[in-house]
Amino acid sequence: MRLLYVEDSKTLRETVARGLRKAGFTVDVAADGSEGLDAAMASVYDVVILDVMMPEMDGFEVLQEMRKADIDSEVLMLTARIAIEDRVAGLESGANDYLVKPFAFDELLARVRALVRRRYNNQSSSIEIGPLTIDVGARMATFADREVALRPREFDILEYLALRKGETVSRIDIHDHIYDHAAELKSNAIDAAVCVLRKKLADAGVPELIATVPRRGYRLAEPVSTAKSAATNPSGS
Amino acid sequence: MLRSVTIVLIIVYGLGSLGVYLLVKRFLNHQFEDRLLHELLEAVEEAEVEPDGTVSFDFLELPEGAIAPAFEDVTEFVQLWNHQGETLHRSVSLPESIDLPRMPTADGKIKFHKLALPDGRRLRAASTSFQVAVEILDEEDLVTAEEQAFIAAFDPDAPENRAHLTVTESDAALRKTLTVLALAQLFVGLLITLVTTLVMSRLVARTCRPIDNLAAVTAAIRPSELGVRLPTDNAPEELLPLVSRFNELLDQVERALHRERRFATDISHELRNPVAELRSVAEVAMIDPGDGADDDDAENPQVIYAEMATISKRLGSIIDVLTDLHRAQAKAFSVDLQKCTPEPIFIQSIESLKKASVAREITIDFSPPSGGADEFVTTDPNLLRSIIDNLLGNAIAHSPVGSTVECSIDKNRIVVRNPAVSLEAADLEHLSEPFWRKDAARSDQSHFGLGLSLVDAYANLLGAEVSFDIRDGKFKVSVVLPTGDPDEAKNL
Repeated sequence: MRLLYVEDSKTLRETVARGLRKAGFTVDVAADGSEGLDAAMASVYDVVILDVMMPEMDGFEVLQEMRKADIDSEVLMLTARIAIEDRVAGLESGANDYLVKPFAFDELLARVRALVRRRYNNQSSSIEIGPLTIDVGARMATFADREVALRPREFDILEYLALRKGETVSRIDIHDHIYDHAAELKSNAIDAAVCVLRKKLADAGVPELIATVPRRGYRLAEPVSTAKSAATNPSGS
Repeated sequence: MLRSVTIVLIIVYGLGSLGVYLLVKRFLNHQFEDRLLHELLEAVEEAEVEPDGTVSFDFLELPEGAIAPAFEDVTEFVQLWNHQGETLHRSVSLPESIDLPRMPTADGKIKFHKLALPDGRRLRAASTSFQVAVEILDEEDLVTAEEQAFIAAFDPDAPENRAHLTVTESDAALRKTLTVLALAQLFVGLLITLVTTLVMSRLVARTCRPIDNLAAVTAAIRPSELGVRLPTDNAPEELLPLVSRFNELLDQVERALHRERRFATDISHELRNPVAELRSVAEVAMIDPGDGADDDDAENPQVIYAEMATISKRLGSIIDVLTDLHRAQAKAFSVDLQKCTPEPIFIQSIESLKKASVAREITIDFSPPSGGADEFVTTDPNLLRSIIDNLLGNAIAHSPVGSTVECSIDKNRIVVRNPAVSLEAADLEHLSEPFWRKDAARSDQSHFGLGLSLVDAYANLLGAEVSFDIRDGKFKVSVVLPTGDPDEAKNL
């Protein structure tokens, strides 16, 4: 998932971004409000983490401009201001969550993941695709109680396709949500990554899940046999 | 209020009524005694010795209704005694069984006294002793030889011609008058109290209505709603000064509370940000410890430790400055006032900040004192150094790169002037407030917004005056140092 972190404190910006990347997110950073707004306008982000007190434009102003421009990214406000009215102002201006500094990195991570789930209407921290379980928190895919060994980028693609289960996802979408700005991709990089992912899933015995939609992209769906079984026995027993 | 007014009224009226009653009583008593005295003297004048040796009263022969009373009714009596105490005359109406009290006095002296008859009647009596005169007969009156001989031989000073007289009169009318007066006063008093209470209660209610309204508005004021002010439109003229003063007080409280809140917010922000950084650096390092392969890599433990040390140092600086500020404001600093020249201190400060000024390509233009180097001020050199360090440090940090900071000493006045990039005249009043910064985002982590607060607090300790000014695009800070005797300054 792709995040934008707008923070004027260099230490915090770099440290938190590093932690988020380590947790599997693709993170872009901006050092002030106007730079953050430019980035939010230019790319699609699942979650924007906004510091409130920043030079140029404060977090509330950035958020208002984002909402005016119909940017529907989930927004987490991050601030040292602890007054209730500040929290209310943040939430009323369109923020989806509010976190006060100093925060535990794990809490930030949990809130970001919750916002991602909310964005894709996923209630749980794991996604079930037929016999395959994708644990977003642990960043692990398991099939028949055995872990499927995937590299981070392959897991990112699988997670993103799983979150948009049943939808056709374009290569541009995958690029926008998985790769950061700094990455310079070869034209077939995404196709190659999906190909490797399919192979690894097949090697683990997972039935074919990822279908290619010609000229449009990829779609992840449950295997036909599993889907039928689930339809005839909703309780799963 | 109503109760106290009523009580005061009752006390005042009660004392007044008592005074009036006593005055009236005294007046009526005097009148009564005057009348009794008059009757007594009339009786004395009318008493005479007859040629046959008896004593008679002429008024007994006066027609009824004459001035002198007949002493023959049921309340007015007279009794006359000779020098031996034998009764010479007594009112016929005086019961046989009763004798009036005989009270011999010196000549001309009158005794007043009260007495009660056995039948319950209460009387007042006047008694005196006197020499009874003989009747001087006119020539045309027929006088016998015995009478003429008696008159010729009569000795007016003879003891046997001395008599004692007591006259009485009932004081029932007087007592009745006084009783009526007392009752009337009591009744009027009750009436006045009742009417006053009613009138006062209405008056007080009407008078207090604006106060009640103000009290209601005041009660509605909460610490979180200090923007409320008492209405002055309908306030009575008498209450207007009070309302205005109260509103001014609310203004002050609101401003103080605002400053307090901002201080709390600012200090919270100043501390929360580095703590957040420190925590994030530590927690992310735990997730991603790195392998130390690359010295410049952010994941290198040495880099992380250095970063944590930098943040901790910044936190420590904030705490140090806050502690100094608190101690200075609480006057808990020991101040060593002495005569010294500020020039060497200024030069030391410039030297110590050379690195910072060079880094920002700032030129420090120092003008030494025009009157020579022997201009003394009374100050603590260490605190003065801190003041100058803060002023110069601020000027260097906030001036545009490559600009010039001007410093000068003129007698006991120190001036630091630098280009004002974003500062405006409206900002001047906030400059001494702790944590105030022009940049609301508080992004500059090398300054906390405490420098000028410290300068102000130190200047207070030294008895110096600090002033700020913006003119021609330049921000100027002036510090006027005292020049008096250090020993006298210490005693202040």
